[in-house]
Amino acid sequence: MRLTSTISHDIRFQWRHGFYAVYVIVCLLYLLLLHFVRADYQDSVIILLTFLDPSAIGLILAGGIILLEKDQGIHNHLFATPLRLQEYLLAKALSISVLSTAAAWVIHGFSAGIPVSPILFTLGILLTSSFFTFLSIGVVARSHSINGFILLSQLYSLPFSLPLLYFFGIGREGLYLIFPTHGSLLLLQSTVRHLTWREIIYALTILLLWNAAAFIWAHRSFERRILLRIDERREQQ
Amino acid sequence: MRNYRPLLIQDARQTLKDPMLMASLLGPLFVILFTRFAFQPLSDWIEQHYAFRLADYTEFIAAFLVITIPLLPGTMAGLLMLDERDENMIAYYAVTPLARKGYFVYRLFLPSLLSFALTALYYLFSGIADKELGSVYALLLLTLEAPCITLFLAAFAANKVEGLALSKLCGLLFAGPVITAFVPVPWQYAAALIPTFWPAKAYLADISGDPVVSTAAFMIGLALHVALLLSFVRAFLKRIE
Repeated sequence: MRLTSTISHDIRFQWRHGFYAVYVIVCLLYLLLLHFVRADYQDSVIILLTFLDPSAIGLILAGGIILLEKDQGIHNHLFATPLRLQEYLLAKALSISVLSTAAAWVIHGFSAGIPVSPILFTLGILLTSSFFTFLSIGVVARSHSINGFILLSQLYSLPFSLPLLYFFGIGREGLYLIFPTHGSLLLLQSTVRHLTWREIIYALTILLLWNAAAFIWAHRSFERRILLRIDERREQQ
Repeated sequence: MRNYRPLLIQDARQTLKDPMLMASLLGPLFVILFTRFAFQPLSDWIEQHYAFRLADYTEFIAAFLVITIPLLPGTMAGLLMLDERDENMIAYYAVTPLARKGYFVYRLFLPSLLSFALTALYYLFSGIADKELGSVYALLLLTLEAPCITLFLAAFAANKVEGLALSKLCGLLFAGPVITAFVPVPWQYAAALIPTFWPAKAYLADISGDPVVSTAAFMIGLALHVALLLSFVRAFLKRIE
């Protein structure tokens, strides 16, 4: 119940600050762009667009929200309520995943129609989005300014874009299996072809494992670098 | 000038400490180095593997990549102003000898200077851009682009979260050269309100041997940029009052 109300609060917050409005314009622009892309490249461009944008939106958005909450001193009061840190983090990831999934479906639905495997496509977007949200939270706990955060988040996320090389036919698949984003790209390819059971199990497992690792990292970072410092400041006063 | 010195010294120090300030310098330099040294090998590789000649689009790519140069310092300065506003720093600057207006001029001067210097460097050394009159027109318009972006963020975002949302919208600026290069006349003029349409138009028209269209595009672009700048200044002053 607490988690549901936190998610709905987060979605309302994102709506109020114009993220949904911005994404309507961004999606329209992508659809216009896809209209001019040659038919034989269109599937690859859609996969690339949905991977680079809606799936990774949490990377910038989550950190920005937390920095603003930090400035406004919201965390002091928020964690004085029964809300637990894991619920707060999960709500951030799930609420941003809603925006990611909606944008990805609009881009795909209006350009190429319903994906071949809608469930796998949705799971791919959800799990990629939540992974990048947790990564963003871990990074923002180490940043003091919005500009510093943006650069640091790009540095942390850079290795996770390596599987794009395989997507463009560079290197053996074995080199990229360790990256969660290789799983993301596989699940996004389910829009155009049927994946084998082995591919589905691998993609879901690697994404879930990395989500768990990123969640633990985000939890520890937030606890030690944000909450603990609030407590220390309170004690000093 | 004396009033600006402390802020200039502080920024110079901060550039070394704040990675994003560094990025607004290194990002455009990376674009210049990329076009200079990696564009041709990449073009050859794509042609070999995908039978697609990237080299046929060199003029468009030159007009497209240059957009990143004002975008980086412009966005960076806009987010910095939002950060400072969220932390009530603008009120602090207002009571220093710099005063509110001085702070404001300074925050716009730095991205404009970076945009001018790095765009000029791009046209001179990227190896894929033309160095004729069209480049000079585009350089002047792109220099005005950076303070426009900064003010757009600072004037219309209530805080840094909204600033991030609006900076996403600044990606629309990449549509300017795409529309100029690929949408036929007269339909392309539907994009006349996208500021980057005009530097791309001035640059590409000059390359295709049409200096009159290039000059006209520059004049219209200049009028649009000045009008945008003035309206954003008004909106920003209204917000901080």
